Amino acid sequence: MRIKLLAVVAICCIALTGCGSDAPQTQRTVFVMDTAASVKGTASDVDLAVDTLTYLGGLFDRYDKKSDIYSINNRLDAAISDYTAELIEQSVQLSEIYGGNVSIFAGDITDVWNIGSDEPAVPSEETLLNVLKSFRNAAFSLDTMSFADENGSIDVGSVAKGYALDKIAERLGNECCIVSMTSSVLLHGKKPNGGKFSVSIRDPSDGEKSLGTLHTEECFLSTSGGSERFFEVGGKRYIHIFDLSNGMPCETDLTSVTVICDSGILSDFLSTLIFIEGTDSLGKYMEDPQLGIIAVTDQNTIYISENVDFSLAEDCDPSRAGDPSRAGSYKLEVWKNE
Amino acid sequence: MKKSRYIAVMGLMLALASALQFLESLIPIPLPLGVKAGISSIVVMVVLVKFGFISAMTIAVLKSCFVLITRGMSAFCMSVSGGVLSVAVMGAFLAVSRKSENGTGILLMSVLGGIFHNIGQLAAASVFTGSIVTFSYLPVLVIAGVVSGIFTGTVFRLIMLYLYNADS
Amino acid sequence: MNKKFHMIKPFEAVIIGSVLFGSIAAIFIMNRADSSSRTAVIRCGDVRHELALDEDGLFRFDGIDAEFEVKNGKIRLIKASCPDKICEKTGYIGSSGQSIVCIPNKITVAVAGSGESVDVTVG
Repeated sequence: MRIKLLAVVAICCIALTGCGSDAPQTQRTVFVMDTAASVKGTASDVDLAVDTLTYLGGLFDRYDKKSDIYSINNRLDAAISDYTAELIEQSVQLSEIYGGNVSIFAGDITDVWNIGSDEPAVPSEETLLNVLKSFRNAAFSLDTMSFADENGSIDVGSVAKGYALDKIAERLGNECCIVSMTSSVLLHGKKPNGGKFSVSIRDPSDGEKSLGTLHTEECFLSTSGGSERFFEVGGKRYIHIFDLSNGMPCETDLTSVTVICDSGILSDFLSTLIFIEGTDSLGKYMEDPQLGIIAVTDQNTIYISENVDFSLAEDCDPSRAGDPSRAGSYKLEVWKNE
Repeated sequence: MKKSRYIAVMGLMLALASALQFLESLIPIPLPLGVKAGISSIVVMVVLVKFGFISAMTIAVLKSCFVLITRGMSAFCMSVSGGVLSVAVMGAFLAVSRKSENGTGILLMSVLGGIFHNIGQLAAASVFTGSIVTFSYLPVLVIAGVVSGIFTGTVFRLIMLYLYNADS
Repeated sequence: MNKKFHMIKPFEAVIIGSVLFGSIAAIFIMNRADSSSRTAVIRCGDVRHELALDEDGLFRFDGIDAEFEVKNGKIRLIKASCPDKICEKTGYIGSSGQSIVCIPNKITVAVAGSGESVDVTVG
């Protein structure tokens, strides 16, 4: 009798060990591409991701003298990595498909707004006119990977993270892996316990708080607006996303845009683009079945596309808080095109 | 008592306290934040009762300096913080209770000393790590302080009996 | 024995007894486990990380000189570089209110109160 019991127990133990992922999960955080990137997954996946991020970060950092972007911007005759070339080509394609509101050739404009320095200031009209002229006259050849003259400068800030996540995803296997670059995230594979990934969307007006939770299968996500760098001068807030028609920080009625899709570079590019274009242009993106959108307006309305599974956080939900006029509360609406 | 005799006795007390402190650090105690048995505080209590507040404070600070040399800065901060707070509280208790009719309760004094020694260490740990999360250990440390206080108080009583009988 | 000193009087025993009782009660109250999945908050100086306790694993963070092991909804510190290893001896913690502290390395680990733990935050 006891042997039978022992056999049953043994079989149960063996069966239980089969559940869940076999490989132990680990997490590493590195500082790359100007952000704290955190990778969670199996040890080999984590190393792979960190190595990829570090390598690509070195290629794309325009302020690093050894990077490809630095070489291009300073008109040096250096060989350009295939990855850099691919990034530039894909970015140019995206600008052609979706319009020129986001462009990697606006490096001069980002420069004059000098947001990273200790004493940010609004550039003079003359400076702005000069950089705008340089931007508009820039001619870049995809064959030679160089500019025709001294006009133009590359800044891949709006696409680099998404692209890096694409490269990581290509190399990953079947194990679950989460790569977060603060404003761009890769969710890869299936969670060990089953179920969807849960993603907290930061409240753009209060970095410590969450707007709510998104549940999703594996995908790429990027958010623009919340954690962007900005500075305040004379009581006015200047955000580090620029309107390329006038060289000024963009004025938009959106405070945060999250794009969910199956391409890293697309999610990164579109999150910036949709942010700049505002609610007027939301319709066409909301309708696109390949994209999931969460767009927050400055009137505290959160629009989501139909295919998005997002629930409002408790302390943001006016109906739960009982007082619709309470500050910090948001209204959630599924976008419907009329 | 003559000054030279005072200094000599204090030196002996300091040596004794430091030696006891070292010995008790060798005993592994499974309590957080490096809480120890408090044997060396018996010496401090004797100095407090026989020589007064300032002398006891001196011994407490100097024995922490011994910790600084042997175990490093973080251990020193905890030790000096606990030692100073403990002497301060015991000294206050002694002063107040001497005036009252009840006289001084030895156990209560040593228990208070034990508790506040640990609280002082806890406070230093909080400052050192920059987090108040360490205060979640407060109940455990208070209990440890009571237990060590009972132990040191009992030993202290034996010493006091001996000392008062030996005094002329 | 000097008349000014006594070992202990009844009312003093009451004081000590109630302090003892209060502390023991506090420990029980703090350890009331709640069943929702929790997150551990790990701090070291300015660095702050959150770790969900629902998945077992070994974790390391850049800039923090120790390893963390999560098992069965609890977390512990292993491989710390401090001499005393008191932090390691603390063992597993799993309920909010418990904490692990490594003073020489300035690491604190605390379990945050209940609240849905997410896989990642974006924004």
